[in-house]
Amino acid sequence: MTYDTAPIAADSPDPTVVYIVDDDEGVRQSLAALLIARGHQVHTFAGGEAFLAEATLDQPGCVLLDLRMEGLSGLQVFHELGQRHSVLKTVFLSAHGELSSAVAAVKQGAVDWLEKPCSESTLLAAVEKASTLSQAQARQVQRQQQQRDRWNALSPRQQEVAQLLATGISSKEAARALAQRDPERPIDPRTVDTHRSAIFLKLDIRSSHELGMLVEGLGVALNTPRTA
Amino acid sequence: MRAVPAQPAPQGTPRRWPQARRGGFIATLLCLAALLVWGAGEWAEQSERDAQWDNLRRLGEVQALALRGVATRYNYLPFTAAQHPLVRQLLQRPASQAVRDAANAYLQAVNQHAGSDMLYVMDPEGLTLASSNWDTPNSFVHQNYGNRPYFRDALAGQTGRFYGVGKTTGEPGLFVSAPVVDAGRVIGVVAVKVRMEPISDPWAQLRDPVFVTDERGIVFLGSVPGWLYRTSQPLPAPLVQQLQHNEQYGTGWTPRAVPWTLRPQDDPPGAELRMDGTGGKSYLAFEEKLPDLGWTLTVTADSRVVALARQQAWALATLASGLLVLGALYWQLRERRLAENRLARIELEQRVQERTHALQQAQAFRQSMEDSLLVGMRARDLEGRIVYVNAAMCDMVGYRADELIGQLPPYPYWHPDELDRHWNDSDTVLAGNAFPQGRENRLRHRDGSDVYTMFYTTRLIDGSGQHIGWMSSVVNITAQKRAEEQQQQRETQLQRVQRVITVGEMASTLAHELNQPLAALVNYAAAARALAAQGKTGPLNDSLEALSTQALRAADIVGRIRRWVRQHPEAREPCDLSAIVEQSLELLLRAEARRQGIPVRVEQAGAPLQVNADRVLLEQVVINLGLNALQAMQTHQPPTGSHELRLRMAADDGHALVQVLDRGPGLPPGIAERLFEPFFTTRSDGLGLGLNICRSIIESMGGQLQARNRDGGGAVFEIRLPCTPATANATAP
Repeated sequence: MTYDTAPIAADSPDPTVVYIVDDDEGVRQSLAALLIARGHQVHTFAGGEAFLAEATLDQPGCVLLDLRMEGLSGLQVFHELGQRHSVLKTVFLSAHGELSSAVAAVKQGAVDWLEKPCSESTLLAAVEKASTLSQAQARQVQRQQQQRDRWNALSPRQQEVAQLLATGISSKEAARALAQRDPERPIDPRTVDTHRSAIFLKLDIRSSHELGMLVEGLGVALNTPRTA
Repeated sequence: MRAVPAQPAPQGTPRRWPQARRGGFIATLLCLAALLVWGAGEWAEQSERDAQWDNLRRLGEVQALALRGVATRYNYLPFTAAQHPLVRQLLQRPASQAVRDAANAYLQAVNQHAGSDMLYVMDPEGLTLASSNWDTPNSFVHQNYGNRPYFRDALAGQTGRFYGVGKTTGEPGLFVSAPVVDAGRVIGVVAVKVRMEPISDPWAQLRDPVFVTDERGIVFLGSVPGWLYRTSQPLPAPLVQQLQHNEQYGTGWTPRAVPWTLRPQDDPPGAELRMDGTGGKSYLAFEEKLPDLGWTLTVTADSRVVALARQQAWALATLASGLLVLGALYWQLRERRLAENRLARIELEQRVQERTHALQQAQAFRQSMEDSLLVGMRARDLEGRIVYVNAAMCDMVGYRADELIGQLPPYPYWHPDELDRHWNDSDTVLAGNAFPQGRENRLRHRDGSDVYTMFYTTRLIDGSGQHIGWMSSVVNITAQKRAEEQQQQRETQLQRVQRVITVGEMASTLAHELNQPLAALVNYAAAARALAAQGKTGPLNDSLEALSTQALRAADIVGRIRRWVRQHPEAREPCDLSAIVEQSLELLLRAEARRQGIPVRVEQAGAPLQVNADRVLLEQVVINLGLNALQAMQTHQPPTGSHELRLRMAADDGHALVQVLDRGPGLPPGIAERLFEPFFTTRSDGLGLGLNICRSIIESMGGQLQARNRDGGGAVFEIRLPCTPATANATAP
């Protein structure tokens, strides 16, 4: 008997995918039965390897992950998700005596941990919370990707100017810095102003502060040169 | 301009030149200049005036002398002539032509010889009887001069002197007369007329006017013809009439004032003569009185010379003061520039001082930072020579900085057992391949102890960007290393302990295993509830079926445990009870109690107790009870404050007792009976199997496990086992 199916009823307006990873078939199937009954879309896996191989990691969703499993442990699977920058959010399932591991997992970014057996309301609340967070992160990732696309649309010179302006300096100072960096290509502060307008337009921002945040977020901010 | 001399900068506020003060300075300067110009003019004027006065006085004296000389030269002549017998004869016999002729000739000869103008004799009526000019058309003979004062003075027996215009000749001259006395009676008068031209003519050559006034202030002789016979002071009317009568200054003379005024001045004695009319010339005038003649000689000097001297002095002084002012302004400018230079120097010195202070602060800051660092710092040049170590580095290896600085590899703190490794590392770093992740190194402290360190090495770059060596930060990880070793030992021990505590382990495994079906049960129940609510009977049935399966699975697990406990092969043997208790303590209890800070007390029985038991299982029961007691006390603060884990052994009626006593919360009423039931637990995370299994074990050995509350708070768990015959005999008589 398997419940690896589409939801029975679409009670929830925005059903989020729930991945159930547990090597105990009873637990796995019972969770699936409950969540499907509650309108979730569910995929079940008996082990971490199969889950990592088959699940769609870049779409929002919730993972119910058993801590102690054959093969990859729950923590290993969780770390692998992090390594792959997955937007999926994890809720750990633990049995008696695994309290410390569960707490450690939450500290490393898991949404919550549930000790088996747990009540229905606790389970559903945790799933709900994980789904919401995952969706938020997915949006965040999408927005960042959009910003990166816009950034890549800038010309190399514009990127250079934008990096300088992002540090909060004036056009004049930026022009001086550019001339210092490459004395053969001096630049007029008014040209920098022109670049600034083009940059703001292309990146769809309005202030140098926003530019600074954006550059910081994309990880292309200038580092002050440091001798180590 | 020469260089500014290097003076020590004055302390305090530097001098400044405020605008107001500068303006005041210039005003004062101009005032001084004006004063100087004025003073110079005054002085030049005064000096010139004095010089003029001296000249005038000398001139006046000379002219007065000459005048007096001319005026008195012929005083003797009338007197002498009056003594001549021919004159007496003439006066006694005026009718005799021969006497007249003789007298005329005599007079003519005398006059010519003496050089006077005229010499003549008058009878007492004033009629001229004989004259030196008898043969000229203007002959005085027969002329009557009875109205002339000099005639009347002589007639009165005195010497007459009179200056006037000649009645006959119309020419001015000085008339001197003397009486002719015969037998005490005046019988006639002899008079001589002297012309004053010889003295007054040279006056015309003088630049400035010279003139003589009579006792009435009338000018009668002088270098300016226009001024002659004019009055310098008002004349009373009788005097005018008298003058008109005696025709002293010609016939038809009327008084007319001179065209100037004379104003006497006190210092120096003199006067100022000012011509009438605006812009009239002004003269310095010196009056020399000739009292014997009743005349006053006045010499003058143009005061324009004085004014000119003053103007020249002014011009010179103005020039001088101009130069002076310019000089002063230049001096002031130079002073100001000097002051500014001084100010700039003081500011510079202040800046240098501030900078020095800042550097000292930074140096002090760096020094205290280095001293406070626990991380050792070591700098080496490119050859590997140590050029710097901080205090922490010195402490770490026990050598002083001066012992380390200048050292080349091998360094004294290299560990003798790892020299190859040190050489290798040093060469690697000096070749430019620093270990970016740091490098663990064992060093040898001077006192012989081992120091475990972590070296992080980076390039040492100087101020100009030159790579001059290598800087290493050295972290002492000895304590960490020791802790790791201890941890490892502890873990090893723990593993051994855990191998022994199969009961506890089993409970945990059991919990996990049992939890799976229980969780599934809960889930299925919830799913069934939801599906029932949705009226989906198909899935509902599936869920309920799965639910039953999981319940059976749980029961199966429990059964397996019971079977495991029962089927456990018995390995009973006679063993010493105190040894078992001691072993339990050593295995886990003492360490756990120490961790919780609870003292352990063991009370031995009076004599050794021997029981027939499975040694390992019995130890596990004691450990389990001991851990329970410790846990009870951990969560409970006893009223007496005296936490203590107490293990007591005793003999009682052929049985050996092991009591585990705590000062925990004790056993609430109604709990004690249920304590050993399976799955009964008072703990939130407990499973309720431990005590049940413990009782099973003890019962399998033919003993009993009981629990009760302890007097004074806490609980007592008591293991009662039958003693082996040997001890039973010994203890039970």
